[in-house]
Amino acid sequence: MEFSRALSRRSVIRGAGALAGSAAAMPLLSACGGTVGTGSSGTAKVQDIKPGTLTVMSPTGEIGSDLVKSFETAYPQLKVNLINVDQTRLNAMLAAGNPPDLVEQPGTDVTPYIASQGIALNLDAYFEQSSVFKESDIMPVNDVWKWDGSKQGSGSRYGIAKDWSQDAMWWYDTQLWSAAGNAARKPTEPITYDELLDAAKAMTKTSGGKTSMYGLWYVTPDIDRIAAMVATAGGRIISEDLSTVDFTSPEAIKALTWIVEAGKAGVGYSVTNPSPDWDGPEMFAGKQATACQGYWYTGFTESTAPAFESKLQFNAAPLLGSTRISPSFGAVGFWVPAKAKNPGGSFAWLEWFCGGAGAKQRISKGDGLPSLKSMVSLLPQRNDFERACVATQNNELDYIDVVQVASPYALNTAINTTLAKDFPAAITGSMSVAKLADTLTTDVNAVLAAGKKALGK
Amino acid sequence: MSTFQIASPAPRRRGGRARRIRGALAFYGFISPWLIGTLLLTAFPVGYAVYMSFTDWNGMTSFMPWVGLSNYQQVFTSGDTLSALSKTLILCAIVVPITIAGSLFLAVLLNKRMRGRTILRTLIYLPAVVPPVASALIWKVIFDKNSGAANRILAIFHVDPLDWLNGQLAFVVMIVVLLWGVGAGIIINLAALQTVPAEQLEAAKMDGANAFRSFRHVTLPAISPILLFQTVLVTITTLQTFVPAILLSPIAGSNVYTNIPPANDVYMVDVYEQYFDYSRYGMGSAMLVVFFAVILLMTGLIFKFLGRSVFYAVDPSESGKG
Repeated sequence: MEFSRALSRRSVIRGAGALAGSAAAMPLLSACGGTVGTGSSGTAKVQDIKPGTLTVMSPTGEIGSDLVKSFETAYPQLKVNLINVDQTRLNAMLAAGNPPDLVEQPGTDVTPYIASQGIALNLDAYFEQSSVFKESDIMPVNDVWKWDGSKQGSGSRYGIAKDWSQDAMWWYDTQLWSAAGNAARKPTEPITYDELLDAAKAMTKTSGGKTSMYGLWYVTPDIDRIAAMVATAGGRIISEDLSTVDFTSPEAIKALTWIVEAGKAGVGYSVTNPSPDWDGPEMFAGKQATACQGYWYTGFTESTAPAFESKLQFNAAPLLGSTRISPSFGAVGFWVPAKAKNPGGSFAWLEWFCGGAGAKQRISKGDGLPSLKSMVSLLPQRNDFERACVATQNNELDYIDVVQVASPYALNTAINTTLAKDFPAAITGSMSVAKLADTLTTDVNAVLAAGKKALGK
Repeated sequence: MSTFQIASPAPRRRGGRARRIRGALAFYGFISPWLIGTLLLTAFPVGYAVYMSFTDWNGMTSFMPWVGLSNYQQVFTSGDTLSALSKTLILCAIVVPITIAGSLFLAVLLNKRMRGRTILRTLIYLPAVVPPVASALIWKVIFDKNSGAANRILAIFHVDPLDWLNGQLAFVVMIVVLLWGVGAGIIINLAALQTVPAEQLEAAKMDGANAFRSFRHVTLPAISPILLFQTVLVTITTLQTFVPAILLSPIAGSNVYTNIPPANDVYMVDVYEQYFDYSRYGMGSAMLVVFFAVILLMTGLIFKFLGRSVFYAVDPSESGKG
């Protein structure tokens, strides 16, 4: 047996060595190959619970071991494996055709994308036969988990909120507020964004170039927050067909101007001065006087910083214009991937965690609003703090609305990455707000167009 | 008087062909685990990624629309991508010379006989054994605007605190972090300096060469292959800078990528964003293929221009042999 010169042993070693060297110079390439997953957007047939392990993708620490134990007691044939929410990992698992059984994400942001791309399981059949979720009992906020092929808010269900809040609402430290000379606010009456900025300036303490107290919360250029601000001024960012955005309307310009001014004033953490953490830890460390968080902050305060209960006030969502709209930015809940191995088991988790014993356990701690109307009475009212929070929240429910921001052509992560790239120039003064509006419109539309093209549309 | 004899051909041993086959089988048997691993875990993924670069795949669905060279066209016309590439090249232009020259300078100092040399060597090498995550976080604490040591030192001189981790200064901090690993280069250079023949240095000294001339004409040529190797290695690793940019981001957690200061938005960060923020696997793959070509080009240029100054030791007994 002779070996040709073209494939001598030496050349094999040289070739393989070159290949290995090439791969070393292309670090991500070898990591990004994989098989392709398929999805289906048709209504899924109800399947029984299969015994085995249920992989739940949820933020680390969010689901306690006590809840897992309770679920496993209720469903002894299922074992729960919690993995941290990570879009990178989720993409890889979806691409490999081995997705988790449940994924925890904000319904407001992901529903059009996961439903239109066939990644998520259509849960209509499961909801129809459910003894836990009765259509008349499901809170309207869960409509964000619906998609009819062109519009979010109607059509088939692709998930349900585990709990939710009206996330444009805000909290302030009453001691810091009054010490700065700000007049006390009635919790149910909305403040304007301009008034808020003035109050924040009064509370901010800066010395020798260092800020020891921020008056305003962490203002991130997030599409949900911008759209919510714009909605209170009667405007809208995304087009009816969800394929383009427009930041150049007078309402959008007003919102952008406020965010840029807040960043320039340095009264809060911003995209040019990012917070090392989110509002909660900063506020409870005495570095921040306000927080832009919804009702769920009640339970968080009680479990994390009970000393703050006596001085925190929960308030109605601020207004940029005159329309009272107080949306949920998340309606965070679970969806089931189309290729999940045990959809029957996944739905059992949905029922237990979002509408059953697990939900009751969490709602009674003030960790958010329930997905079912029948559970509203479980909201805790054991002390003055809890009663005040529930009173403010009940009043705010009248102003809940779905502010459309999500598109089937891009995840909000992609849009927010684009916003974060464009905002710094405006905050540092090298770009006008008008130019920022143009740039954002162009750049975000490019992202949406690329997503649309990727879908072959 | 010597006589020449024509050697008769060696008798062909029986079974030569069978032996060659056995040899070949043994060869491929021994390398097959590595070869199979390379083909499956390297060649296939790389080939697949190159294929992806011609598509608009979003990484999640089964739909992979073929877009031809469109992604490559975008790589060469996208302002963000070209800006990221230029930042990366600037980073390389600063870090590589300082790393090579600095590590050589310190190695020469540590090669001298002096008291406490071992302790000094250990201390200087210590940063190189600290995990990159830990070192980046240490520097992040040092350069924190409100409580970092850097601003405290500036305060002694009545300088207002600087926001090191945001804006353009973040690039300076990233350079500092990259240079902190110079200890590894020192060790390699120290090892190279030990190989410089003492007799050559002695001869140069006897010929009246001072320390500088001796270093310039004896030491440097002797260690030049090692310096070339280091230059190539440091260039490639600096071009692929990614982890320090992430770890120096002012925030942690899932939003880290959207909060990397624009100054530190180097090429690999841009690639990562394309893959995992924008779900544009095709574009990300095209960027990597282009980057691969850039790395090859840079390596080629280094060999072309520095290769002329590299001297390889040749065994005199081997010279002249065909």
